[in-house]
Amino acid sequence: MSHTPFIVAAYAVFAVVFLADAIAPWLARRRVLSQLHSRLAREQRRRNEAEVPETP
Amino acid sequence: VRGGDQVECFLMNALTLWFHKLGSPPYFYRFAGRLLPWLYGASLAIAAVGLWLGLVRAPADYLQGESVRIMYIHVPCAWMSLFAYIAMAVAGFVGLVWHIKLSELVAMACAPVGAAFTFVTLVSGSLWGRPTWGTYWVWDARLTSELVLLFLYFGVMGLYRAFDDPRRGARAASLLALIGIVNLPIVHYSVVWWNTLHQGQSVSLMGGSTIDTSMLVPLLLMAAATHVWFFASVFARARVAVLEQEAGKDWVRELARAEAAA
Repeated sequence: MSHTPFIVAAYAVFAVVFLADAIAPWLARRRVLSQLHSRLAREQRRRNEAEVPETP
Repeated sequence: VRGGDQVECFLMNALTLWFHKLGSPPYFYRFAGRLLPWLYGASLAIAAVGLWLGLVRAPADYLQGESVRIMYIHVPCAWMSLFAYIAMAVAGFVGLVWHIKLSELVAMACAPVGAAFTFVTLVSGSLWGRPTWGTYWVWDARLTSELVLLFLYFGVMGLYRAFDDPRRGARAASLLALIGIVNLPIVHYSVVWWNTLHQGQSVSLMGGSTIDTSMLVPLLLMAAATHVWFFASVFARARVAVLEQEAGKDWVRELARAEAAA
């Protein structure tokens, strides 16, 4: 029985799992900061609209 | 007071002060951010050397043949599955007792990393078992207790996410992590307490390792690489958790503006 497929499969699982482990927090950080930036932009827009004086 | 005592006292004070500063979310975020590239880089560099020695230079086993090369990922991941659990339980304990928010976040960041190590341990062990034992799986004490460890990690992650209030979730999950500690000696000593298909330990910290140096060196290098990776991954995840929990604070808002402008 050739052991190569078992070795390759084990190392492939190892690589995929830890690649995902490295990428997951990077993506999560981008998502959190992007959501926060959108929220800040919405708040700023609302504030600007409230400051516009009503025309007679 | 002798000069040596003064230096010792100064170092202890500096260390205590640094530890208190590290508990501050903005300080931790910046500190961990500066450390991350070095940790990931060091882990990859050590792993590259370890894998080269293990896959290219080390000989095949006289009994198991080439399949022994799975050991260079299986054994370090198995050690890390226990180490990550201890780290999670200790951080959870500190969070529960002293209500340190950052400690709770670090405990919860340990869970997915520990689960990743446990998953790789189980899969690589299964792939090693097929050519060695003739089967992918047996309900043997070591394999079963390692599977229970994976379920404990999943339980901690699930319980943390089950609460609307992340701090309450972290406290409940930390309690579960502490209860689950009982499984660690079972995993470690299962090969001693029961007659298992899984082999006993070949590497001992107290000496008396029954493994040749040509195999031991890459194994220890991979163990070092996985330890460094663990800290990198926990820091990266804890930074995201800090951002989520501190989203209303000025420093995070400034950070979001700066990142968007960049």
